[in-house]
Amino acid sequence: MSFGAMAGWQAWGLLALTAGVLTWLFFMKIRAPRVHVPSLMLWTQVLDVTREQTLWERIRKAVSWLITIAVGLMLMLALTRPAPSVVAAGGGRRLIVIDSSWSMGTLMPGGGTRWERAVTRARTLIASSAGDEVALATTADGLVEGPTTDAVLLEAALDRLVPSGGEGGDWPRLADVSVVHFITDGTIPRPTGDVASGGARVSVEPVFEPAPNVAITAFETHAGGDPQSQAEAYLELANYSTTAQPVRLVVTRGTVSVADTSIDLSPGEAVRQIVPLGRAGDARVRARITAPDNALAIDDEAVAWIADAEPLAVTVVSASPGFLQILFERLPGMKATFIAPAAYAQPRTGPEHVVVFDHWVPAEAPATPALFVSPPPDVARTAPWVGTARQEPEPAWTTSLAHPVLRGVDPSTVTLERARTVESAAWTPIARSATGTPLVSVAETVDYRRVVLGFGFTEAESNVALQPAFPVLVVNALEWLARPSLGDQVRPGVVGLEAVVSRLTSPEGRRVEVTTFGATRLARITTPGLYLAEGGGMRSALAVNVGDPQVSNVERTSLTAQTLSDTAAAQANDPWWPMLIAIAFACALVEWWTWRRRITV
Amino acid sequence: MSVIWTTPAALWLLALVPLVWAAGKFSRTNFNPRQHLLQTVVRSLVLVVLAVALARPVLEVGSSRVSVVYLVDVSYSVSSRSVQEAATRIADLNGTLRPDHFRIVAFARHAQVVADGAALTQLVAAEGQTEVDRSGSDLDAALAAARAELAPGHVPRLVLFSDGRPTTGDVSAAVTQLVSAGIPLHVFPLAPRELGDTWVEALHLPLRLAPGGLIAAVVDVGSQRETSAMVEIRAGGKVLGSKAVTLAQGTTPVIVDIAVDDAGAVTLEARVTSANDPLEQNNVLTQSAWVAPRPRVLYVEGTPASARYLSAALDQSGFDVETRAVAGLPATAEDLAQFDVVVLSDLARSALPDPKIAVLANWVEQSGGGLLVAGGESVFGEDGYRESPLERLLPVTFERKDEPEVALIMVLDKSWSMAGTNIEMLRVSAQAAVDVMKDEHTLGIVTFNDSLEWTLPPRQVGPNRDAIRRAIAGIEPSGHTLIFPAVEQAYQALQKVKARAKHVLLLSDGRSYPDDYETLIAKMVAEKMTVSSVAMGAAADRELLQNIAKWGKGRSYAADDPKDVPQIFVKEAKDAATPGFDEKLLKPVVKHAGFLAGIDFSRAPQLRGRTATVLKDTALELIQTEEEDPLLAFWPIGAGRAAVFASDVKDRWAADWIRWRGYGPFFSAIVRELAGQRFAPFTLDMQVAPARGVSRNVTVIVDAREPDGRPKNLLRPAVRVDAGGIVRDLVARQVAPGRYEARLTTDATNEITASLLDASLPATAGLSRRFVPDAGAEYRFRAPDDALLASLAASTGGVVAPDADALRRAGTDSRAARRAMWPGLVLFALLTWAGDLLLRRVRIFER
Repeated sequence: MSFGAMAGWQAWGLLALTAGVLTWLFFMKIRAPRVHVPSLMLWTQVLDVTREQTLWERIRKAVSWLITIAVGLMLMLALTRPAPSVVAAGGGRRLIVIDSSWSMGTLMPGGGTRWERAVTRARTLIASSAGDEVALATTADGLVEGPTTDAVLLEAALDRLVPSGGEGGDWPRLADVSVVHFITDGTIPRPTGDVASGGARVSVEPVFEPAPNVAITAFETHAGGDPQSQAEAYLELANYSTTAQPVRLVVTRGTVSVADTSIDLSPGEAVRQIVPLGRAGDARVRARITAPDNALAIDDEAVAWIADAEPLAVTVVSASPGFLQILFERLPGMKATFIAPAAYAQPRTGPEHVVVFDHWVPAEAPATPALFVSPPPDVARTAPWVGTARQEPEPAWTTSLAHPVLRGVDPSTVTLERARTVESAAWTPIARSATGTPLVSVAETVDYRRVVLGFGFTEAESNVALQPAFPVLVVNALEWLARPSLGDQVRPGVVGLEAVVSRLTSPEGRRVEVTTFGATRLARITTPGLYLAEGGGMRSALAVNVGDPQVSNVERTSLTAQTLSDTAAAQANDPWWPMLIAIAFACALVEWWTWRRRITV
Repeated sequence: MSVIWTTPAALWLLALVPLVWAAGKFSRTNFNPRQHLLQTVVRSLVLVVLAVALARPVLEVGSSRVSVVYLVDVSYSVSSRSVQEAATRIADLNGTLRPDHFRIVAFARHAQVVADGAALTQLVAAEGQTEVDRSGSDLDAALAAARAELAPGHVPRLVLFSDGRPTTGDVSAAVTQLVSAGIPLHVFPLAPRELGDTWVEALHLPLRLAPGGLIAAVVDVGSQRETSAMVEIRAGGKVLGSKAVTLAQGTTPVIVDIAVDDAGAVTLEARVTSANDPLEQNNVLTQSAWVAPRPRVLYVEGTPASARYLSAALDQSGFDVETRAVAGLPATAEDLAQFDVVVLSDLARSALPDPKIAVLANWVEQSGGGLLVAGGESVFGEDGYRESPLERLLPVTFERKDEPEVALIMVLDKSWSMAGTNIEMLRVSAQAAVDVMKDEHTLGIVTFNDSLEWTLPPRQVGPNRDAIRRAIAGIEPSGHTLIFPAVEQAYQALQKVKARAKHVLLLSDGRSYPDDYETLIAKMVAEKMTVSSVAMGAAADRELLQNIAKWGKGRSYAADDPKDVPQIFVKEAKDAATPGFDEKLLKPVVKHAGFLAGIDFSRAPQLRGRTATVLKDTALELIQTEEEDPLLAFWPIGAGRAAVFASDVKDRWAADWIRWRGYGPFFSAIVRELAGQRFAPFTLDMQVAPARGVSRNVTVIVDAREPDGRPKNLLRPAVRVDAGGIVRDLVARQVAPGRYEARLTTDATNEITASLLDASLPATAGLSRRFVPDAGAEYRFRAPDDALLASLAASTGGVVAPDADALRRAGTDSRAARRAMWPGLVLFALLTWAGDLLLRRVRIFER
């Protein structure tokens, strides 16, 4: 046994001192209460008692003393932080890196999870640091604590860590590190060459035991390109075990069950399925599996989000909607309400995802995402917030940037009779005429998203309404305004989000910190699930899944047989101090009752 | 100050503490009540403290002690003077701030702690091998190293001196870690090294590259001096294009026209050469590009002998052209599926059976095929494409938008040989022709034998129908055949008539004396007249009559049976009334340049004719005639696109165009615009993550689509990845509808080529992507990336160019130090335990 807090002789000395002090206190003569008693009564009582003392009565003082001493010694022993004997590594700064891949959550046949075993191993390594500086890192979080010689601080950091992905992560490369202890199950192979090239010795500490697992290794939906096509989900299940087993699969859309079936999976078998979902319905799709031999829980559930499952509620503010009305009547994913400009200020009920201002701009900036179509020429006077007006007769659409609003819009099919748009620092032109007039501009901040089209759809303004570009452009703009793309196949880790996303909420309702970095927003997502993204008046969801055979196949490892053979030697126990304190707590509570009842003294 | 509960579940033990108080109800001890109470409180305190200790609280407390780590970029691109200035600034900041702890970390490809500013200066002053590898810049790793140097329990401050041009690492990941750790990063931009150097900064290529076609590549050349240089682009050692330029200080964009022979992944090497260039490593920039396979064009030509012009032009512009005769028009979707664009040139309606058109229409509308129909005389009118299924696909209708003023002169043989049935049929035929002519048209009839007679001088049909009928009825046979004077007479008469269309219909059954017909007809054609001929009976001079029609740009007929003649006359009268084409010189006028931008039409020769068409309402007219008739019309239809070029593409109406430099670019632009609408059955993409350390992650993505765009599922596409010569064959696994991925980790310095290969998927042939790491990235002396540096500061709560006060102020101090509380709590519990014991041995509150 070694002591993490002090040298052995110091620890033993303190324990002896504690025992001595407590013994002295225990055997202190208690001063009895002064009571006046007639001597005859006293001696009569003494002579009348003929009962022999029971064994317990004879030993209870000794037992009481032992309990008292034990509680004190356990507390003192906890302070010395005892641990199994470890050999101090020595030799300068050390880095302990724990592989925080999801596979580390595997429940091992021998008991506990790989992660728990890794943490235990890290504790042992910290205990053996013998005054050297130790830094603690994970493949997901990078540097977590240190470098420090404060083992308590490192252990406290270990207590806070949980597996949080990090398949793509790496360990930090610290200066002057002599040894890197990499605690891993080897499920995700990682090169160690650069660490070695930096002069550090890499010691791989395996925490691998094969375990059977059943997993959802892929789950993603596709809503189809055109309004007639149906949504579908791709689902892949795999049985990474040496025995066949039945797997129950439940797919739900919102609260409605889409599929509930049992599949018999052979050893190593992967089943791939296309699940038809229909178009309308809840946007949230969830798949869940249960199976008897299933060592890893994180891959038993997967989520997806059908962005256009819910119709977009669009309010069109127009004195004469014309082609816009015809368009919205034909767009299946839109639910349009048409109001005159005079009615815009009146309160409206029901959802409103986007407002389209056709040839009119309100005096105050709208709170909802907005599409402006050919703003009026006096806009600088009537709605100065929107910018200054600019016009050009017969502009030629010559320049288009790669932007979601213009995806699939072919300018070569568009003839414009006039451009009437607005300009200000807030607007970023994404399409211009040959003379530089902005034809399509976007504005995006954390507070709003807006698009302005510098042309209308009447015959006097353009031929756009008669071109395939018309629905494409309008739908693109509305989708961009109300449903920002949050990316496909998102896995836990650092996720880049669109600039408009200002708030990200985890499935548990916890707010995820969103960092602005240049033109993008970064969020560090540590658990899978459906995340709610909000900003600029829009709401959308980000489906984050583990879905990876490399993670879920916890039957195998990339570690060599030689490395694995060290597993047994690397076993270590948990720290003793929490157990000591827990026992002391129990003893103190029980002893209080026995003492009050005078069972002990 | 805040407390983190590591195992908060242990706090449930507090629920047992009331048991301590409950024991009082059953107590047999004889302490007085006040001491009882004190004992109970003390024992409860012991248990509460132990329960809290088991919850493992960690106390986060603020601190006034500041730990600063200065992170100085000593990579090769940063000037030594800047680093020296950074050392001076560090000394100044330390002098003013007087931090409780500081470190200086020099970084480039690796990070290294240095003792002080002097060591930093020495490091950059030492050329050649230094402790820090200066051939790259890994800001991500450097930030992690700097974090490790911060003193625990201190207020953390990182100050970065850099040009903000990392060559490896993922800065965004480092930023999120700094943010979550609450460590502000302050930045100072460092100036680049000044060597008087010239380098290739970037190579920009168009989004879509096609083999064979000219590609305008833009090479951004950076220079620290004014100099002349040669910029060239190579592929596989072969120079694809070069340009001599004069460079100014700064960045000069140089456009180099190149052509790539083959489709697939190509590695382009942009190179700049200039005199007295001090550094070689940055003179070459290697970049991979994907050259799309040559679009496949099926060219069906009605006159196969004339197919070579367009075929050659498209071939030279990077298309794979297959030329077929009209019989080769595909009858099945499978045959059509191999093509991206179909060109139909001057095909008669009768050559296009409806089933073939239906297949073609489905291919265009459902599979996104491109269709170009070029004009010719066969495509117009009731026997042409008018109201045909093909016309439905096209952006024009095959009709005239105006009824032209027409003058028709019938030159009719009334020699003795016509006596009998022939003259009867001639009268019937002439009358039938008159019946289909409109009132405003002009008609004249010249009859001839060995002399000629104006049976009907040219006059308007409408008011003279009865007179015309009588004149026709009065034609009687006599004399011999003498054709030339009659035709000449018709020519002279038409010269005097004002009409847009002037046509002569010559009928004869005999042989005439030879004469200079060719010259006469040429004169007529020159004056926009056309001549058709009808050879009636076997005795007619068919050769002459055929030649006359040929020279006269008309049609020739051989009527063995006189009963066929009325039908011929009706057709000629109709065609004369509404000619399906205008054979005259046409000047193309650009109405909407669109995808033709860049073609110089000012030098375009005139076209010699066009098919009459009318633009459909929603079609786009790109080129028109001076009379505003459509020449090139275009529209999207269904998933595909269709265009009509109303003139022809060969040596008849486009005889001058085929010699024009713009001929190839014009048609290749059209065909290119028509192509590319089809969903590629497979697309391949390669996402290469930033290098971290010595490795990088690579994801190869395969998207599979059905012809109608729906995702293609449940495949197992095989992907071959060649990373630095190590070839791995991987099976891409499906991850979403229609999407397949293969992932691997490879050495950061490797050139990586990913190819889709699967014998069962022939459409994947040649589909590949390549990534070439930029080995010279560190040696491009660009100005500091102020935007990146400002973002780093803003996102972490730091500032740009901070002074000591800013360093002291900025950032979050509340989490400066963390302390595990359990040892203190356990010590407290131990002492309280002793006190608890004492309270049992000493009676207080008693006398």
